[in-house]
Amino acid sequence: MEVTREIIRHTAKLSRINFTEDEEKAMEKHFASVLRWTEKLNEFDADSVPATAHILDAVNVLRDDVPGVPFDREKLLSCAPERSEDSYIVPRVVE
Amino acid sequence: MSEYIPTIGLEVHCELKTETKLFCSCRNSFGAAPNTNTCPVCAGHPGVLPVLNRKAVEYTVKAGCAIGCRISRYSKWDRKNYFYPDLPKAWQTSQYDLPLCIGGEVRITVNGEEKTVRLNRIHLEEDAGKLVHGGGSTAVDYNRCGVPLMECVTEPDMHSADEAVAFLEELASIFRYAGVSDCRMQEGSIRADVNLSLSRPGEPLGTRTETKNLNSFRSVRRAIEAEIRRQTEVLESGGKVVQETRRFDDATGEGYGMRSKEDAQDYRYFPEPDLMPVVLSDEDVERIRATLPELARDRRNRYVSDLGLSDYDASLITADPATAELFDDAVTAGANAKKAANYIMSEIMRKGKTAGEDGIVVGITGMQLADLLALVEKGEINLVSSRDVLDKIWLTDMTASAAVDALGLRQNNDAGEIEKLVRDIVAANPGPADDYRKGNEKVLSFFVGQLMKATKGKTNPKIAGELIRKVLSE
Repeated sequence: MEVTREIIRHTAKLSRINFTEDEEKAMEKHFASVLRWTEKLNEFDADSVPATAHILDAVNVLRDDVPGVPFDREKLLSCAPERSEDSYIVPRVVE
Repeated sequence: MSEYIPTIGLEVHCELKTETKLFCSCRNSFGAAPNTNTCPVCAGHPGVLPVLNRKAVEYTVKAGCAIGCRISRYSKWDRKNYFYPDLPKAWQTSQYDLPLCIGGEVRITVNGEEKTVRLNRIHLEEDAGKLVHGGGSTAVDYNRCGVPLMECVTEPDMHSADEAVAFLEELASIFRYAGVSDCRMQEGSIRADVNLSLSRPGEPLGTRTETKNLNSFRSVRRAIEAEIRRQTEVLESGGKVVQETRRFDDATGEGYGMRSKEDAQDYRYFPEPDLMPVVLSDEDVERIRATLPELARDRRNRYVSDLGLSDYDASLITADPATAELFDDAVTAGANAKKAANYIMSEIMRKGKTAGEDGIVVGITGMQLADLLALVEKGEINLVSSRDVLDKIWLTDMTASAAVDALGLRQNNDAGEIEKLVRDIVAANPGPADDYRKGNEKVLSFFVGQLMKATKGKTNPKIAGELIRKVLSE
């Protein structure tokens, strides 16, 4: 797969990362070598191997539907960069 | 222009009525003070580990059984990545390629015609938080974040707003009966996205648009009608429908496109490493299936064919599982089906309906209702005083007979005693008595009123009417 500037910009945008012109150029090269490395996987014939959803064997790790002790709101809100009395405050988002 | 046929598919989100959230033990409850039902897990703090709620899995399987889905014996979790402040982790934990339920169908009746809407899948995922937009900033409340949400995806089997709304109503009824969701529109516990395209008969489907997040049956209907009009206009004027995500503004009744290029979603799904897959045995599925009650549609049919109710009455009674339960219990306790239905549709629905609520609160048992109706039947109380009895026994375990005694309402059926009272009243009102004798039948109700007043409503109205006529005709 060819890594174009377009792909770098799109991926950066989805990741909310701002690149300078120089960083984009460097990333283009770096990204290409990472992809070349992962393409090695395609050499392996996986047709006979069942798909794996998880690397661990455990399944059905479940808990009962019982409410726990409420967590202190103040403790959580105090981690926020901006807050009001009872809520997190973020820049106005308009759809 | 009628030559275009709309094709509609829905994605319906229903909140499950579990006690706790999907991956943490915070309460799942509507209306709490902002951010009081949150913890480091649902607030998306780093390093926390989610643990799946067993009940949420059971409820989704139960919902799937109710609409004939195939239940996956193996399903898993995936991360759906996007940045938006209602989602503190920056991904939504959902199910991508191995959902809990596959297929299924819902039968609907529109304009007397039955049809089937197929489902593609039901998967389980977490709900997002609530944003409150104000002045220059937005406040975020994560109480809803992490609440278990079923997403039901239909096949494009509907062709009108009527069909889409009928489907939603039927789906909501099934989930309410199954006891897995309240499906309360006002509380946002059921929401729908509408996929819609137009095509001419025999031609392949046109380009579709998706109108997101409609939170009432009314706005689903209006959004569909507006989108059919808009796409028709675009096509009629030689244009092309652009595939895009749209919003519908309830205030203006207009849909509008979101900045499609900017908002084009690229969710980069990948398997959730923090959650283990869910494996269900045949026994698990059958155990859950066995907890399903009789659903509204089956009850409706039984009420009509076995109990002789009209279609209309059967639909009204089964609209809410609580009234259907009450009706069934009352009939089992010996009440006459038609009389029980009438009483539920008039008195119980009036009393049980709370302003602004979707559901009905039923404050008496079937046994209490059967008892109450028997007293009316025997003439011990009349329908008017039955309301006082209903008030007295509502939300208590008092029997109707005990309430009648406690209120001193037991009706006087002693004809001799009533006749004496009638004679006194007629003698005291010679004017109206003369009017009656001159042929003014309306005066009769005046005498009935006087008699009821004298006996505080405790006279059998049938006997009263007969005796007044008799005395006046002498």
